[in-house]
Amino acid sequence: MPSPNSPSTQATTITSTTQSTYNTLITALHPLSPLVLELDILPSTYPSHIHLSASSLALPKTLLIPLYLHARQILFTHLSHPETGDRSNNNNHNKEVAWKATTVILLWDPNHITAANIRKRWIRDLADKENGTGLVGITENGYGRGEVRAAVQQELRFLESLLTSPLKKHTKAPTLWAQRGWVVGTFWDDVVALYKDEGEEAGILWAVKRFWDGELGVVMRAGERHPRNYYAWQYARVLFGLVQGNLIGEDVVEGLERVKGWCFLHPRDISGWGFLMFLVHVVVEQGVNEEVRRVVRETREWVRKYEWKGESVEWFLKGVESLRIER
Amino acid sequence: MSLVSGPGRGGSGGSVPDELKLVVDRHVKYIQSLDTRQDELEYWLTEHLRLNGVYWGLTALHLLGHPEALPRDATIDFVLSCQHENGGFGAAPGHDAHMLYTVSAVQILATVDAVEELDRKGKAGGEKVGEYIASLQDPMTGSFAGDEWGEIDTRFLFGAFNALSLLHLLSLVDVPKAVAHVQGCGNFDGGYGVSPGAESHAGQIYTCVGALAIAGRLDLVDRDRLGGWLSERQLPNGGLNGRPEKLEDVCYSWWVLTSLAMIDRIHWIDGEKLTQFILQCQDLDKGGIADRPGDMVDVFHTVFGIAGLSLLGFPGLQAVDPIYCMPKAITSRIFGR
Repeated sequence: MPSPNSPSTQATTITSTTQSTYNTLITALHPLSPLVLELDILPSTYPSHIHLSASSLALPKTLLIPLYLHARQILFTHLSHPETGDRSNNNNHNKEVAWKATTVILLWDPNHITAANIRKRWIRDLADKENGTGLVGITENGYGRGEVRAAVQQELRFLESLLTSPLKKHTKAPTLWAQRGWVVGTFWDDVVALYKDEGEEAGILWAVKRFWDGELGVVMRAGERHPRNYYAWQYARVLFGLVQGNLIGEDVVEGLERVKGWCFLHPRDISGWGFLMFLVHVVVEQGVNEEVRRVVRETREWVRKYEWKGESVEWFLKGVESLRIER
Repeated sequence: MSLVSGPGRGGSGGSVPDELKLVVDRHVKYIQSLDTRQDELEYWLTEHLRLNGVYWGLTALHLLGHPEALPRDATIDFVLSCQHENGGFGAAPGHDAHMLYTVSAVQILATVDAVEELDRKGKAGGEKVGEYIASLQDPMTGSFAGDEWGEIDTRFLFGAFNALSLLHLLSLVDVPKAVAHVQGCGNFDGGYGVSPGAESHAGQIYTCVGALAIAGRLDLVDRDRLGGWLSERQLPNGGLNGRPEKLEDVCYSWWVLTSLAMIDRIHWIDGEKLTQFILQCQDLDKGGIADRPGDMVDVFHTVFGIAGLSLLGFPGLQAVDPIYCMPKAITSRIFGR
């Protein structure tokens, strides 16, 4: 039974069909167990309904637009009535409705900073509730660390869906990549805990390695969706700064090798080569020049083999030369 | 102002003659029409850019010699409606405050000579706007965040310098520290990236060189090396790209060209070929400029195409300030030169 503050009674243009389709979309974007969905916005010639499968969701642009406008209405109703300090069930429900609406907003507009901020506040508020009581476990409102961890995982999965799907604007959106960086940076301990295997011994090295490998995969998938993806590879640099303290030398060299392989598959991608150069600098700082010399040798061999002429590879080789470690 | 692309397309409006013209009146009408598309669905679909869009449209109109084409009072009212009590501006009414929109707000008010309206009618006066911007500087690194959530990007550093200098409040921030951060973003190829270790990108180069120009520290730039990297952005068709092996895009006619202008090497690219390329991106019938011929026009590419032409000395355009991307007449008035 909708409460007096329910958005559906406020929006005058929404039809019952739109509301029902909106509910379907919201449900699909909030699976009980968070997973990475392949999302697609189809041309308007497609039939006007949501196409759903276990791991994908697609809808035509002409259908997304009215759903976005409905989500927008919900968002701005919520923003103009913040009701801070009101911890009633009604207010919590409204906050949750607005938070869910941001998934539709960001599906339409990946650089909608206000929607992204609502999502950050959502997780931060959960964490504040947990911290505020000083209890690890269940707080007086029923939120515990488990809730925070679940929210973090949900956010990471949702962002991964947006960043690795065939959505042209999303894969390179600085707002989405910054969001991912914020979640990982702010809730580092929770993120690492999510990657620890059950029963794994104390210590986080394996969890961090697993996380780093997974994130590099996300960056590479986004880099394939959108070539020369500046903000994806920028996220990789920020991420490396976070994990570096917990990666052993071998892990870094493994990363170097993996990125080199990616560059050979995408030789015109200056951002890939740019990140390879970044890792080269790291490895040189660690004093493992032999690994860099090997990468350079193999790159030169690759260029020779394919008689490759390309500005990006040339840039990389010139850059390594300037490090003067080859002799 | 609607910020969707179209309806025009670059390179349309009949066969392309050898001597292309800049269809000034069509562009003016195109930009004016964006304001009247307020009732259209699309007006609501690009909300997150609205204030930027007003700056792009207004600046283009000024450079085209039609500063009166957008209603001044309505523009001021709209800008002020985006302001928060902390001094920052959001993209549109109700949107969260962020550096990107705060900078556009200051640039718009400066362009229409209405900065004092902040003290008169704003939710926060000019000083508070300056304080909002200054609060986003990281005192440790000198870098700037976009908002309270902490994303760091040299775009925000340049934005801060841009807006604060227009407000004559640059002293609110640690300029030398910010300059040191910019230097840290410099690369072996002479270019600059979004943060230390990031690859050179023409857009980031504009922000870094622009920041150094405002700080009076262009002496720190390796002009020949940077000029070389920038000049390599020109493609056989005359257009400029933003990074190696990317496609040409009209907006780089601004980012690349003005960076060259700031280091006195604008002659390192073929200006005539670039001019022809920009002109080919116009919709000669409906107005507006696209990123490349054949694509849909939009106000973003319109302003940067026109700004590029202005830098190249295209006849009939007002001079553009290479640092601020505002009419030179305006910045000269503000800085008394």
